[in-house]
Amino acid sequence: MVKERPKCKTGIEGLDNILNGGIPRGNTVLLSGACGSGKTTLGMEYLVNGAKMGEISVLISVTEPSSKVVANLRGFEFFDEALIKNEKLYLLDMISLYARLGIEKKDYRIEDIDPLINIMEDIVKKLKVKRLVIDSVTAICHQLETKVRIREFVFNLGKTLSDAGCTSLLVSEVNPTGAWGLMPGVTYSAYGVEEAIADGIILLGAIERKGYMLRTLHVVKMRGTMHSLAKHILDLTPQGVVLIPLLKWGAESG
Amino acid sequence: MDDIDKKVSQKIKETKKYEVNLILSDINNYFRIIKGMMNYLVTERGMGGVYVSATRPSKAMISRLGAEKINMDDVFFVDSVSYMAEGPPASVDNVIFIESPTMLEMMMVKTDTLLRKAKSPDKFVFFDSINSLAIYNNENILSEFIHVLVNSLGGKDVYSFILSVKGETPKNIETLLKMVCDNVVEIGGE
Ligand SMILES: Nc1ncnc2c1ncn2[C@@H]1O[C@H](COP(=O)(O)OP(=O)(O)OP(=O)(O)O)[C@@H](O)[C@H]1O
Ligand SMILES: [Mg+2]
Repeated sequence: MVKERPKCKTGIEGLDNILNGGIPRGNTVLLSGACGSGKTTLGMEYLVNGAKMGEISVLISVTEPSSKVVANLRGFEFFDEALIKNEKLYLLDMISLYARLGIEKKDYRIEDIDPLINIMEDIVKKLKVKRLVIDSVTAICHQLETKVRIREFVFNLGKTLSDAGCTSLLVSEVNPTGAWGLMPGVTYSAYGVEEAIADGIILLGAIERKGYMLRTLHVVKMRGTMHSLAKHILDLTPQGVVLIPLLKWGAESG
Repeated sequence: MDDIDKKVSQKIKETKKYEVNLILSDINNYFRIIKGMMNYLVTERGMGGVYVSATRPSKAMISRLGAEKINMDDVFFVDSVSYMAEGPPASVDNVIFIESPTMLEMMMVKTDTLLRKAKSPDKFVFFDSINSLAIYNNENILSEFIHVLVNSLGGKDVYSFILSVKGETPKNIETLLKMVCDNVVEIGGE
């Protein structure tokens, strides 16, 4: 028998089965998809489920203030605000991060990126973070400008997180080609370098069936475990993310 | 209780949980057969469950069955017709709307969701009807769906019924249904 690495259960119906038990601990996983594909919801459910299991779970929200994140979370049954009070779940935004850095200005410059990575590392270590979601890593990469710096950033971040035993989802915004889908040869990340460094890629997309859109999920790669490559339908419900195998004859539009 | 009601309850009273029953209905008695089924399951047996409406909007079924003095409080609807017919419906307790009858996977997953809501100790799933799905889905995907649906229903601690109107379902589909369902119950027109 091949021994698989210890797993971090996402607690999301269906996803743990697709991943043969969960995400291998310490992996840095790209959660890629176009806008509205369900990245934030899936990421939050992963964190909330972890927090409920007693693991320190942290969101670093780059694109939205955390007050907005909480407001959206209240619309989901899986959310429990007590997790925040009990310091199992932390929702941090750029304002709170920069406050830690002693920076007050709203728009930050490239020079501020290095201390930002440091502070993320600092948080992961100090709080003994087991689960981290950065929403989105694309927004940080925008600030880095060059591929070399992005590669360096993602690589260093991945290493720090993995050394700390933290299992991370890096939300990656990709441009839709057609309907949320990716054309063959198109990358899973905005800069094309994030995906090569990541240990895993979970791709959220969509298919069109007779004029109606269905959200989809499939695991493109996941180092350290066997996993299904099948495309699943992703249903965003008030109870959270639900995954259903896609009917094979319904995989293509028409 | 009219004749059809009696006939229906007689024909389905032997059905068991974990079995999938194909109800072949006569087109002229379509509503009366449904009424007979609900009368037996809900009124006589006190069951709750999930009604998958792919033929008539849930609103129409709820009001017509309600008018027949069938208590629909513990019956939950997966409705794949209203959206297509009338556009985005206002949210209704006990009903989950599906945008299109081509979203076959959604019908299954929403059935599971709603089964968890039904409170009665004995539960049913009633699928009304396969022939309507044949209008919007080709035979390949519909056949695949029937396989998955029957396997899914057959694994549940519920009474399952799939309605198909005789003469309205493509031949291959009807043959497949007869093959994969545990029992075939013909009502009306004999
Ligand atoms: N309470 C809810 N119940 C069900 N579905 C919801 C709920 N709230 C939002 N949604 C759906 O989720 C979608 C947004 O999902 P989400 O924010 O996770 O996507 P995203 O990929 O993070 O998008 P973006 O790139 O814009 O950040 C909405 O467009 C809506 O369809
Ligand atoms: Mg988002």
